[in-house]
Amino acid sequence: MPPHTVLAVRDRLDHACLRLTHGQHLDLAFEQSPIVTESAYLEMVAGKTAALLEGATAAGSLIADAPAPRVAQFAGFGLHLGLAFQILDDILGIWGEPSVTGKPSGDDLIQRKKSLPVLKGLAPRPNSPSSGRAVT
Amino acid sequence: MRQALQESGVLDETRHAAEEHTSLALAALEAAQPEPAAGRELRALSDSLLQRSR
Repeated sequence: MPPHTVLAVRDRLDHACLRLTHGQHLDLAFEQSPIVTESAYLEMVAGKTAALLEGATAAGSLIADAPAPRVAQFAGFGLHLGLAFQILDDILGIWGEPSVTGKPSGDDLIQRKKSLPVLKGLAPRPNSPSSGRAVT
Repeated sequence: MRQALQESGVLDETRHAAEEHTSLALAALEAAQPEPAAGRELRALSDSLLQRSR
């Protein structure tokens, strides 16, 4: 592998590690925060699951000697795939079948995890004077 | 709480968000490598995961 490719891949991995650190920091901070917005949630996920996939798809295309625009496209592919994966995981964490997920039913609710469905349920509604939907 | 979330439309909204990101991922993949088979495989995988969540 040419030296410039090695450096480019290492740069990508370093970037992914930094984002993972930031994402993990946000995840821990959310545990103590009573209010988390959807945009903050997406920032956190983009710094965890999605950062890993983005780094992997970008690194693969760099090693394949793809031009910069194509590397950016593969990075975007990994990023959005990671976001979609995490959102689906959030759905399965509440409504998934234990036989499929390997986790107890509703495990994320029991652990009071601030997953996307919970944040959407608690978000203010346009037609409601209260702060969120009735989620009891 | 699970039922309340579902009845308030949150499940559908969350599925929609997942579908949006899947579509963005597919669009990026197709732009990067116009290989229809890869896109079809990813779409089939995504549909399978969404089906499991229903």
